[in-house]
Formats: sequence, structure tokens, C-alpha cells
Amino acid sequence: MSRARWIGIVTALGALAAVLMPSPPAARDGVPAKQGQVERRVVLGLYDGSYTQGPEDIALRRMAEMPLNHLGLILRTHDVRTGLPPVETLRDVRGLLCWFAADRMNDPVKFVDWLERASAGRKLVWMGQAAFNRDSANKLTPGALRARAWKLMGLENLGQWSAVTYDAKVTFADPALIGFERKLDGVIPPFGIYRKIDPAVQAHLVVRRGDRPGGESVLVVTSPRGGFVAPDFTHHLGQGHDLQWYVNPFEFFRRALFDAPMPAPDTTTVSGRRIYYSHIDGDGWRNRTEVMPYRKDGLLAAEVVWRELIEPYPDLPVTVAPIAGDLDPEWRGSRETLSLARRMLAEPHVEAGTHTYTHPLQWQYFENYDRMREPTGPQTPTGETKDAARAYTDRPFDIEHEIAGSIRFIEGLLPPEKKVRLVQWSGNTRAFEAAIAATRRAGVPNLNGGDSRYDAEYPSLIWVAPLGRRVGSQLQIYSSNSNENTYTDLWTTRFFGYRLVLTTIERTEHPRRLKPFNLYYHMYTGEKHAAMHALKFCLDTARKSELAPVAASHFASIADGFFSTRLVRLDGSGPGVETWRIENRGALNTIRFDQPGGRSVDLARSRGVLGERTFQGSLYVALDAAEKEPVVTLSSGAAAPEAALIQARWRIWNLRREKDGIRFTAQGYGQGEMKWRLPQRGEMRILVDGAPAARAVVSPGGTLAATIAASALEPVEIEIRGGSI
Amino acid sequence: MNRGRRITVLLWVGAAMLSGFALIPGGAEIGLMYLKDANYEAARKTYEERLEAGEKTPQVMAALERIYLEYGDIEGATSALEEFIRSHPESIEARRKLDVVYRETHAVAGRIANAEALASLDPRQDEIRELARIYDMLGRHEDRIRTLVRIEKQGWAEPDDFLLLSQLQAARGKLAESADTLARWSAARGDSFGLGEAELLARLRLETGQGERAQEELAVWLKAKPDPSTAAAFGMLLLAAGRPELAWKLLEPYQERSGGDPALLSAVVAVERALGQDQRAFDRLARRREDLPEELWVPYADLALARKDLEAAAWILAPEKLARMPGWILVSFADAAWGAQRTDLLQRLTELHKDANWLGARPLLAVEMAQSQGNVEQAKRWAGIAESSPLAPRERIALAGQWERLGEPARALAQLEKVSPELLDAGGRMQLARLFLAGKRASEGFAKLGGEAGASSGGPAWALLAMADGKTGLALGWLRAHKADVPLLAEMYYSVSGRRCQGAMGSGLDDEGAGGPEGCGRGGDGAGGFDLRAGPDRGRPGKASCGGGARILCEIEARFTGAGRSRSRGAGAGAAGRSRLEDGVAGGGKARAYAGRKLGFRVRGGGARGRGAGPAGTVPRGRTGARGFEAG
Repeated sequence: MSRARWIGIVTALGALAAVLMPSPPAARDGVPAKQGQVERRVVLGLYDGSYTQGPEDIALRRMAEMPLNHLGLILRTHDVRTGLPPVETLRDVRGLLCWFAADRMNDPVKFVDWLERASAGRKLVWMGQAAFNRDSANKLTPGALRARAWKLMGLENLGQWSAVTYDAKVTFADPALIGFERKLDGVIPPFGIYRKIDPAVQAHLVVRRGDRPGGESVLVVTSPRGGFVAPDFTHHLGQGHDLQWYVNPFEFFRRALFDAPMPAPDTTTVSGRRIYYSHIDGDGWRNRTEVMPYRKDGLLAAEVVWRELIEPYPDLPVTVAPIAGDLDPEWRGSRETLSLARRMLAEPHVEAGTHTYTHPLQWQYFENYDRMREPTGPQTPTGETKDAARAYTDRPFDIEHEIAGSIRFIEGLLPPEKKVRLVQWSGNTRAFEAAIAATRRAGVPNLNGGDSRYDAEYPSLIWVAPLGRRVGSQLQIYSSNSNENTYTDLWTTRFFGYRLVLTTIERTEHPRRLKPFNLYYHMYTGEKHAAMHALKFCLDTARKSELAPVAASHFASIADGFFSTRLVRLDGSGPGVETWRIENRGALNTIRFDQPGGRSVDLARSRGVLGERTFQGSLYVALDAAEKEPVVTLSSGAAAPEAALIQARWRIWNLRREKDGIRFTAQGYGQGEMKWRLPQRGEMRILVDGAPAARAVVSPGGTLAATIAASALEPVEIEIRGGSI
Repeated sequence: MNRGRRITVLLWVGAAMLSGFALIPGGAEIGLMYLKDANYEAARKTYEERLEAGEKTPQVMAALERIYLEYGDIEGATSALEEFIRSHPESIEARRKLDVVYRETHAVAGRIANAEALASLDPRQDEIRELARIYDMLGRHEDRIRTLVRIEKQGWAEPDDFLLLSQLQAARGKLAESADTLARWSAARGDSFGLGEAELLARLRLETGQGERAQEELAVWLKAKPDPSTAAAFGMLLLAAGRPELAWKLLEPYQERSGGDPALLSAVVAVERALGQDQRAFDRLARRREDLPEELWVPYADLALARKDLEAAAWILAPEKLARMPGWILVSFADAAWGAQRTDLLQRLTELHKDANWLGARPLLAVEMAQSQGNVEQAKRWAGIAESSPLAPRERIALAGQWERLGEPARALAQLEKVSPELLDAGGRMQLARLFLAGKRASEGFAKLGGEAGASSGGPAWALLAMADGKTGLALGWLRAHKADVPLLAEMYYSVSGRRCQGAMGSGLDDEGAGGPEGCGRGGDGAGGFDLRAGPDRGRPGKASCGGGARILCEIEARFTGAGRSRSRGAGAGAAGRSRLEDGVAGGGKARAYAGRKLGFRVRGGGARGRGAGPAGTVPRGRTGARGFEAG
């Protein structure tokens, strides 16, 4: 029998065995084996595009999505002008979130009928105007039909309107939900009279109309069916950016959309620490610096960034994404720009990205591109085409050239072991579906957009963006912070402004961790003294903070994982015990329990868990990337005497708990600070790739804190063992 | 070279040297040169040296501030200017530079203080407006009001500023100031002062006891923009505020034109009725009976019933009119027809209803109508139908009241059981409590409102039931923690004293409430009792000590008379019948007796048979016509 024939027989037998064999037993005893219940994570956000600026500027995206993401939920928006989705397509939908800007819509009769069917077995949350009140021809919807819609929320609308409210009084404001960023103690917005008709409805804000008996209105409610916030009671609308939540969106959505707690796939934390990542868009690469003393030598701004902000910080990874057109001598590149790119991108803590080939500014322009209509005329002194929708227009736009082409070009400058890992959107970052699809075809994640701010100029979480945006079938991931453009009035003044990003970084860490520590800027930062120093200040602050630095592409992959993760609630849990299987999570390796109720991970009944850490009342559970489908069990019993990670600067995976210690793989930037809970006591020896690297003592409480002064830019194998080795 | 030539050369050389010396840049110029050259290290050194040399000028400080910002040193930049301003607080130039730094560095607190100083030293509109914006963002409403007043005083106020200022003032309870702001707006920018603002101003004037001024201002506004509908709206506004005479004064010039405008006609009629000019109002409508606008149908029917003119009232007996008549009109009509033995009208009414299956959809009204005809069996039948109908909580309470009156306490209780107290507002819960009290089921009612744990959610109704159920301590605790209004105190008082004075419940009184319930208040019972109604003509209070159930009475007494001097101050038994008709829900028929005068409130109308008037939502804001019933 030939070798090939043997191989064929063995393969066939293997396949047969795979079919006939029962499912492999759980890796550890105690892990429930049943399939469990997949948690629905999608919230269908309904709006009417007739009354909004565009799909990106709706309240659902601007205000609701980030808190929903924080709670582990995914917003899918739907413009009711395009019809209503068949109810049978809503199987993955946990709840409907209706946020309309006007009190009318095309076909309210059809909508209410659909709403009744669609909300059966799902939560219904209503914020904003009662769009079912009238049709677009201003014809009032029959009262009975309107009453049916209100009934779905456990309410009745008495049809009374208080336009003058000076004599209205807040008779009850639930402190857990009301007065989040702003108290309701100024001018009370006009309101209608809503009453509860379902005893399960819980009022969080009650306002009384003058002294009239019967004039009490419940303006914010939640119930097992969902929730309601009366129009104008979600947030205060001041001048300019001065928007402020009245309602605590996290708590409101938590109560309105959850019957039982659900862990949230977490994109902010790795190994128990807040993620740090940084990325630079290539804009300004070719600009000459004004910074002394480099100006004397006529250095490029990118060279100054390299010398001042990248090279001195090898412990802080950065993704550098040049515009290929700035490097390619056939476009605007030169020997000088190419040489600098080669040097910079070769550094081990520098990840290569691409900021496209020609730097599109208005992405929508290219969705239905017509070369004949594109300006190709005069250029600015820096070689950009005036009044065009992209910087360089020498050749016709081609999305493959922008993405795959720029990747190919930049990879030609890299050492053999390096690849381009990330696409960083340019211009207005409003990538269209085919553009995002091109990044996926190229096998790299994408990043940018969002422009999160939360500071005195943007005084609300409303300005903190969600994780990303879905465009058709594609997913764009937003950067976690804004860049220096929004701090410098589009690079025209107060060039020190980016220092103020630290306010947003602080406010998105406390009192709840909403975003990683992200430094995002452009190469033209190297042009200005103040901008460069602002960045140095931020980098120094990062260096002093307890963080887990990762490459920007890794963060983008984590965010991708947020959207793909499946949370499966497993049966077999006892009182106070809950068990979850985490599936299809990609690079995401932290899940968070916001109200653990004093419980912790029961390692004996879990699988693929590195450890846990409680921070600001939430329990962050670190998952082992080596485990495809980890199982997490929370219980209130005493912690099992098993090794568990508390926090580390490096990413850790493939943890093996052994009799006298632990072994794992790690990768990271800077020194390997880490803290473990160990069953052993006394002195432990730490070996990196088999070589002794450090010693540390386990405290009487069972905690080991160590700093490993080794390089882990490439993965290393670490052992922590007691006794002699 | 001759001497003269040499001198000339020397002079030239000397002049050139002098010029050269003069052109050597000084410290200020050197610093500026470094700054312009973006040589910040050298510039910092230069300016810091100048500072150390005592050159504390705005120029030096501003330059240092700029240099520090180049290094990202926000704190250093700020403190350089702050230090200068400490020694030169009146330096406008330095303050403006500091304002920029504060703005650019998001230093809100510092910015406010500095902007306030600037607003005093050298007010600029954009800066003061920005200050107002910051105060808004911080929710500092009083400061925002102050800043808006400053904007107005500077003559910069736009209509939106006036509106915002008046809204803020009103929301803070400064109604008179708010009204004055609107009035100033009207005077300064009358073109932008709209109908809504005029109404708001009038409301504020009325609330601050300036009714005449409100009327005058409305009249002025109306004169400038005469419009019948607006006149009607203004008239109704004054009427709603209880000032029919002012409403008439406003409407009188327009009354002749009322025929052409239904809203104005409605308003004129309403005002005439409020002034007791029913006859004139009726005549006005009767003249137009054949083409009476729909809005006037109800007032016409009501007026006809009020003057017991059944023939005129029978005008409603047409399908299209009946369909628009509220239940209370129909009940009044049925009552009047029954009283006049006009069975033909009643039959006609019933036939019309039957045809339209109208009563079937309003079983509660049917109960009322049957009750008004004294047809108990029919009333019970309709009540049975109502039981199985979908009813709102308040309607269910009304139905319970009907069962109570029909002598079916068990069925009344069954209805009450179906009501979720948490769905009721304070008025609804109070009605619920009263029904439990009327059924002598205080304990059940107390449990229904949450028992001992229900204090926070149950409100006054809970306290009332607690008291009636003998939970004196709980009721006292509630009373002391809350500000109870007079009617509630009276009701509480009644619930206790009524419980102890059998026979008080349901003892009806005359319309104006003369006389108190028999069997009560004749001296104390010597067991800690205290009778509030025991006035000079009712004997003295008993030997009351404030213990046991009487403590609650002492507490109530103390609310009115002040602790320590209360108990012997009874002021006679000015009890009044009180309608149980509240919030548009039919109540029971038993009038309550209160120590009205003593307690300082007065309830008009009502009577021994004070009957509720219809199902939920049908009770008018005014009277019910034939019975002349007014809610207290």
C-alpha cells in the first residue's frame, strides 16, 4: 500500500472517529457541560432619518451607543424610512431603543402594529419624541392606537402639555438615575402628563405640574418591559458643546435592558490593567520642523517625532502609519522620507501601519467616484491638490491602491519579519463599506474616528464615542481619544493643547473605566515646540501610570472581538453562582462584571481564566488567550487556593498552574511588572526562557509582586517557582 | 587731511558709534527676537532674568506665559500671570491675557473669578455672555441670573436673554422679578414680545397678586394686536385665576363681536356664568341655539339644567349632540328629568343611548344614571358589567364607591383589591383610603398601602389609614416629618374622632356646613380624649392628656394653634359638607363633617346627599349644573 493510501485511510478513520466520538469532556471538573443560553447583545436603535443630519449624528449614536457598549451591548441602528425589519429577523435583538427627533413619522399605524409584535419578548426603551403621535402629513394618530403604544411602556399619556413650567416641581428624583451630569434644578423643560398603568413600572423622576392635583407626571421610568425618558429629560441642551446628561445612561440602560446581570466584554483592560496604546498618522511627515535645535539642520517634523517622542520611549509602543504618497518618490516622497521611514519602522517597539496612499479627506466622495469630476489642478506649497477630496490626486482613486497598495509599499520598507498591522483612517474618517472591506481583505484591522473628548470644552460623556461604527456589513473601529487637531483648532493655535487630553484620559478612567489610555497624534506634532512638549508630558504621564501597553492594532483587534463575542449563560449554577462560556472573542481577553455582589471567580469551576481584579466596584476577569472558549464561574465561596493573576504590564497567556509554581507565556513593553495571588509562600524564583531573572517573596497574604527586568518585545516563557530549580 | 576734514570725520565716526550703541537691542528686544525665532530656551532665560530684575510688566509676564506653554507648563504659565495680577489687580491687559490662558487650559474656576473682575473693570459683551454660558454649564443659576441682569443693564439684552432671565427667575420662585423682566422686555423690544410671553407675564402678575396690572397689560397687548381668539384666551386666563371681574373688563369691549368667534363666545359665556350672570349667558346662547358652535353645546345644556329648563335642556336629545355630552351633563339631565317625572325624556335618552350602544361603552355612567333614577337593580346590573370591563385604577375606585353605595361592601372591597396603589397618584391613593375608611376597613387599607413599610410611598393616604387603624405612633411620625395640608389634617382629625364618636360618619350637613355631627364633641371622654370641635358653645375639652390616640389630635391641634395653647381654643363646630368628588372621579355620597372654621378652610356646596357626578374624566372643572356642586 502506498504511503498516500495509508494517509488516506488514517484520515478517513480519524474523521469517522471525530463524528462518532462524543464531545470532548470539559477540561476541568465542575464546568457545566450543557450548551447554555446565548445572551442577546444587540439593541435595535430606531430613528427617522427625515429629521436628522445623517446616520452618524443621531442621538442613538451620539448618546446611547457608548453607554450601551460599556454595558456589553451592540447598537444596530435602523432608519424607519427604509421600512421596518421583519420581526423574525430580530432573533439576536435584546431590545428596541426608539429615539426619534420628531413627533411624527410616515406610517404610525403600521409602526405601532410592528412595535407590538417586535417588542414581544424584547425590551422596549423609548427616549425622545413620541413619533407615533402623527403622520408626516401632520394627521393625528387615533387615540386608541397611541394608547396601545404607551401601554407597551406601561404608561398612559393623558395628552396634557405643560409648556410653562415655572410652577412645576420635581417631587421625586431617584439619585441613582437623575442628576448624572446636571441636576434638574434650573428651568424644567416642558412636559406632558404620563401615568403608570403597570404596577411593575418604577418611576425615577416625577414632576408635578403646578399645584394641580393629578398633575404628577412620571418622566423617567424603568420596568421589566424596558424604560422611558420623556422628551427633553434625557439631557440639558446648552450652547455649543454644552450638553449634559440629566439621566445616568449607564444605570438607566442597565435597569431598562437587563433582567439579570450579564458580563461585558471589556475593551479597556488587559491583564488587569488599563490598556495603553498610541498611534501616529503620517500627516506632516515631510514638513520641516520649527523646533530648535533641529530647525538649524532642516530636519523633518517626522524626524523630530522620532528623536523626541519615539526613540526615548521604548517602553511605550507606538504604531506609525505613514501616508505612502509621502514616502513614494513617484508621488511626493524622497530619499530622505524613505530613509527616515525605514529607520523608524525598524524599531522593535514601533508597529507599522498605513495612513493610505493619497490621504482621502472626504471619504464619502469616493464611494461613487468619478475621476472626471475630481479637481486635479494647482497644488499647495506642500504638494497637496487644492480643493480636492484627497491630498494627492495625481492618479485616479482606487481603494485597492489606497489600502493594499499602501500596505505593499510600506512593507517594502520594513525588516523581513515585520508586516503592516493596521489601517489608520485619514481625513474625516467616514470610511465607506467597500473601503472597510478592503482592509479586511488585506487582513488588517482598522482604526480612527470618534474624536472622544470629555473636558471643560466638551463637558459631557456625550462627547465620548462608542467603540466604532457599523457600515453595512463592515465594522470601523474608533480610536479611543481625539488627536491634537481638536485641541489646536485644526492646528492653527494653542499648540500645547494636546496636553489637555489627559483630562479626558482621567475622566474616562474614573469613576468607571470607559476607554484605554490612548495617545493619538500626527507627525506634524514634530513641527511645533509646544506640541512636542505637550506630547512629551503625556508620554511621561503614561510612563508613570499603571498601564498595560499594547500595539494599536492589538487594541483594534480587541474591539473587533467585542462585536464578535458570544456570551453563553450556562445552566447548573446554584444560588449566587453564575457561569458563562465566552465564545468567538478574538483578541478580547477581559470580561467585566459590574455588580459582582461580593463574588469572585471560582477557579475550580472555571476554565481559561488567568485571574481577576476588582476596580471601582467592577470585577475584571482576565482570560487566557490560549483557551478558545473559556468558562467563568462566579461564586461567593472562599477563593480557591489556586494561582491567579492580579495585574501585569505584559500580556500573559498559556498559564499552567503547577505544583510548585506557574508557567506562562508573556509579551509586552518595558519591564515586566506583575502581581499574582499564589498558593505557595516564601521566596520564589523567576525564570525567563529558562534563565534566572529575578526573585520575589510571596507575602503572608499570598501575593507576589515582581518586576522582571527583561525584554518581552517578542513572547517569552516565564516560570515562577518555589524552592530551588 | 586738514583739520576741518578731520573734525568732520571724527564727528561722523562718533555719530556712527552713538547710533550703533543706540541700535544695540535691549533685554526686551532680545527676548522678543528669541521668541520670534522660536528659540524658547534662550527666550525663557532672557525673560526670567528680567523678572528677577524686578521687571514685572504685563509684557514680561505674557511672554513668560507663552514660553511656559511652549513647554507644556500650564501651571507655570498661569501662575506667572496670576502673580502679576495679585499685585496689579486692575490691570485689564493682564487680566485679558490671563483669560485667554484660562480658556485655553480649561481652568474654569480661575476663569470665572477673572472674568467677573473683568466684567467690573471693563465690561465686554462677549466676555459677559461667555460668563453666563459657563454659569449655565455649572448649573449656577443664581450667578447666571446676575450675569443676565448685567447684560440687560448694559443694554445688550436680546429677546432670548429676557426670556431666559424671566424663566430662570420664575423657576427660582422669583415670580415678581420674573414678571418685571418680561415687562421690561415688552417695553424695550415690544416687536418680539409674543402672545406666549404676554400670557406668561399675566400668569406671573396674577400669581403675585397683581391681577389688575395683569388685566391692564393684557388689554394693552390686545389693543396693539386685536384678535377675538386672543381676547378669548386672555379672558379665560383671568377667569382661571379666579378673577372673573377682570376677565369681564377685558372682554367687554369685544363681547359684541363674540358671535363671530366661538372661542370668544365661549369665554364670554364662561365669564358671565362665573359672575353669576347665568340668565344673560343663557340668553346669549339661546339666541344662537340653531347654529350654536359645538364648543358651546355643553355650556348651553349646563345652563339650561341649572335653570331647571328641561325643555331647553332636551335640546341635547339628538344623536350628534349626545355623542358630545360629558357624562356629568347626562347624569344631571337624567336627575332633572327624574325629578320632574319626565319619563318621556328619560326614555328618549335611554333609547338614544341604546341605539348607539353608547351606554354599553360607559357602564360606570350607566350605574350613575340608574342610581339617579333610584333604580338599584339596574344600577347593580350596570355595575356588574363595569366590573368585567377594562377599567383604569381610578375608575375601579369609582366603581368600588358605587358598590359601597349600593350596599355591596364585599364587591366594593373586591374592586379595591384589584387596584395597585402604586399606579395611583396622591389624589387617587387618598380616594382609595377614604373608601377603605368608609367601609370600616382601615386595617386592610393600611396593609394595601404597604403596611408599616409604606410610609414613603403611601403619603398622606397612608398616614390617614395608619391613624384610623390605631397606628398612632406611625401616623404621628409621618405627621411630624411632613407638611400636611389643611384638608388632610382635617380628614385625619375626623378619622380619629369619627372612629371614637360612632355615628359621625355620614352625618350629612347643610350646604354651608352649619352644625357638627351629632354625638361628638360633647365634652371629653376623660380617657385622654380631646375634641377639637369643643368650642365655647360645645363645652370644654375633656381631661385630655396627649397620650394614646389623642396624641394625634394634639398634634393636629398644635399645627393650627401652636403648642401649649391649643386645646381650649376650639372655635365652634363649623363643619362643612365636603364633596368626595375629586380629580374627576365619582365619589361617594356621604358628606363629611369637619371642624371647618377651626381648621381654616371652607368647602362650598355639597350637602347631605352630595353625589358624585360621573365616571372618571367626566367631571367638569366647574359645577355640575342642577346640583350646583363645586369641588372644594
